[in-house]
Amino acid sequence: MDKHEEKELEAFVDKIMAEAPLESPSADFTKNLVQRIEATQHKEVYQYKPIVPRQVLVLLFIGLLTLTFYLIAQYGLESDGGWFGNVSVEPVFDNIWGWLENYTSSKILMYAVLLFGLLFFVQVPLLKKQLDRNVMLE
Amino acid sequence: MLTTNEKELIKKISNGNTVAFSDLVDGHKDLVYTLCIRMLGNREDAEEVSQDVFIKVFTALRTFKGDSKLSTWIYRIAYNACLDRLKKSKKERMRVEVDHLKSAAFSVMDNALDRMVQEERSVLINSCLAALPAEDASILTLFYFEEKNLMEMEKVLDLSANTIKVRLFRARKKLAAIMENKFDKETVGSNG
Repeated sequence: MDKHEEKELEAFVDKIMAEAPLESPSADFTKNLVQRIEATQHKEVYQYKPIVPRQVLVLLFIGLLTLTFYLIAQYGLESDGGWFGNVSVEPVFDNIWGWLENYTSSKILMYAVLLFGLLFFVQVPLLKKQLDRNVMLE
Repeated sequence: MLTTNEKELIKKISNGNTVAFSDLVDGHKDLVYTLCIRMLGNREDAEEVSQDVFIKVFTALRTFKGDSKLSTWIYRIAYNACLDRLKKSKKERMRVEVDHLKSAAFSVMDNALDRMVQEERSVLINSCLAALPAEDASILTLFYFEEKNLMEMEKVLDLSANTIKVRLFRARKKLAAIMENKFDKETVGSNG
């Protein structure tokens, strides 16, 4: 085939390919595709992933069991010989809550605390709406 | 290399925005599907592979560096997906003999094509393209999708420009031979 014939062939195929119609996939091609992608995305979102890895949990469990058995072996099961047998806790609580016995609060403080509580519950739905909107945008 | 619109679109899709992704699909689905159908030769496979191609596009878009046109990158994924499918199915279309091609035939075929109605012409061209082996069909299709830009084609096919030129020439010859064959048959059919 010489140069001239090659040119002719090229022009001929150019013409054919220019007229070759583009094919279209089925009408719901994009819809099906997006559904497939959304399905995989949701799977990723809701897939349960423990925060602490399984190995660490197993190690912790074994550690706890060993500690329990060690303590039982060391101190026995009798309740009178336990850790808190000789500890008196009353003075500690007296120190913390003792001041409440003589305490009286003003009305203003009471209203302030009430109002604060009320506003706290008002902002819960507002924050939820805001977060929902942000998640939707992503 | 990328337009601002494309950059914006990629950013949105990377954030998981499926509306932006459907825009991208709508813009490229016909081209991808046409390439698939010409390489695989049947609608069911082409539809399935096209879906897989776009899913790959969706998941891999983050890794797209923008060193080629977005469409070129998508064609590359589609081309490789079709090659994989062909390898799996091991279907190979018949060999096309090009020895008998007469150069004088071009103008005759050209005239015959001109006399046809648009619809007939489309059917005939499609059937000729369907008879081409996958490699030739893909190289011709991509050549025109990429607006005859050999540099972009190098990126899709991972071949040198010279190899592409040689293969293009071979594919053109095969397409012309198939068409000549069809015309011969039709003439024989209408005479006999």
